[in-house]
Amino acid sequence: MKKKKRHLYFLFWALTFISFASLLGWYLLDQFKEKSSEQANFLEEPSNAVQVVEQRDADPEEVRPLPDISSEELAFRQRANQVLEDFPKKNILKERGRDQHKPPRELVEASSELGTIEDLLDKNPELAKEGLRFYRKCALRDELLTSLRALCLHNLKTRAKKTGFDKRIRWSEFPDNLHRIADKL
Amino acid sequence: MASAWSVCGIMKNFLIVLTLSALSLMGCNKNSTSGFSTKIGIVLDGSVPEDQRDLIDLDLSNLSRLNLSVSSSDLQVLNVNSFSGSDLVGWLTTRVHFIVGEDFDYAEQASIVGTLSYRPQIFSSTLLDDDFLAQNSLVTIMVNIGSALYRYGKNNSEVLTLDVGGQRIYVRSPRVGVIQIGEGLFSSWSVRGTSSNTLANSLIRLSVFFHEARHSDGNGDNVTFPHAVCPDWHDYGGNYSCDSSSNGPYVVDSIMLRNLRSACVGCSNTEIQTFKAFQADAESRLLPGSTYKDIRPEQIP
Repeated sequence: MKKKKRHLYFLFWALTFISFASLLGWYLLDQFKEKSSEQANFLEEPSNAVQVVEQRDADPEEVRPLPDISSEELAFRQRANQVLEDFPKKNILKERGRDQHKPPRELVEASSELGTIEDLLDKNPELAKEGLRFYRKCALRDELLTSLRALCLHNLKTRAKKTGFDKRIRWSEFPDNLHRIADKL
Repeated sequence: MASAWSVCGIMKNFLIVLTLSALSLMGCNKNSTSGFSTKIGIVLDGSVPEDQRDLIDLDLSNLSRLNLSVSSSDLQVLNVNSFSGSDLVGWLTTRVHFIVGEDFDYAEQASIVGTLSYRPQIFSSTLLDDDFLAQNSLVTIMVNIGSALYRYGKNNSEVLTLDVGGQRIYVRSPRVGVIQIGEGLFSSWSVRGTSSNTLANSLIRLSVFFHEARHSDGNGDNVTFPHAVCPDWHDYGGNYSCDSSSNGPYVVDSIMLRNLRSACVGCSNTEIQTFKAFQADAESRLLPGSTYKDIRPEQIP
């Protein structure tokens, strides 16, 4: 009788422990999933990206709800997208007649654009998230010059730290070599 | 009357002397043999245009005024005690003695004066040959032609001399220190929207001098710290545009750009981004597995 009571006692505590451990595991997994998806989505552009459409030509069926974005953010995004398109690509280095020992002159032009972007972000704190989004896209764009991508990653790190968003960015999506160069700057 | 004639005679002699001086000055400029010493002792050859001469003087003055606090690893790469103006000037003047202009014809000014008594090593990469000549057909930014001529002489078992800055020098060491500069250093490398004489542009130019000065170092296989071939996956894949030395020219470049940036007080975001972009370019050229190389220069006895 005493032995049976001891077994029941043991069973009770074992079940309590298992339940507690399961609950804890469930909670931690949930937290991890939430963080990963938050990091993944943090700097993604909303799917209903703004398209400029002439009002008179617009088909009422095509009109989508406006995203939650200010006119300053929209202007910045459009400018940033244009800058990204104009940034020098790796293939320019294959052109004949280039001095491969020194940085390409296009890098000087790109630095000037980045300086203007930095000026805008300094003067308009409300553009912080748009700025991070721009730098992330630049650092992820494989066809751009590696030096430029590394500088974008460096600026992303600096701005993210300054604005307190550094914990919400998935740093593992950037190649190690880019991190190495960015951290030296 | 007699005194009037004597005054005329003096004037005539004066005019003759003046004309001869002008002709000799013109002649000097043409054959690039005259030299102008800078405040820190580096000689500028007559082939350096006057506007570039003034800017180099400005750069070297800025260098001598620096006093930067840097990490011990940076000091180790340059092998200096500090980044004070005097230490940096000392480092540079050990490796750079002459600066020549874009029009300086090194082939015309160099002569073979003897053959080497020892068998030189065969190098896997050459700086002077195709690579060097191709580079010289482009817009010149800066080239260490002294070290290139040394390698050429060594590879061909010849001792060369070079007429530069009004002197004849023997190319017996990579430390012969003759640097060629071109318009590219002052135009295509200037921060957009700024003039060549701003502090930022001056400091950026100094970083190029330090890069080229590292080519005056090294011995054996690593004499002149030649660049390595970039691997296929690299932006500069297939070109001699990378370094396998962790104390090579591109690392020196990177260190100087980072530290000189801190001296760029009051510089704009565009200027700072230009510093960083150039540094990123230099860092991107350092190959994985790079090692520290001996900087001691070799010397032909």
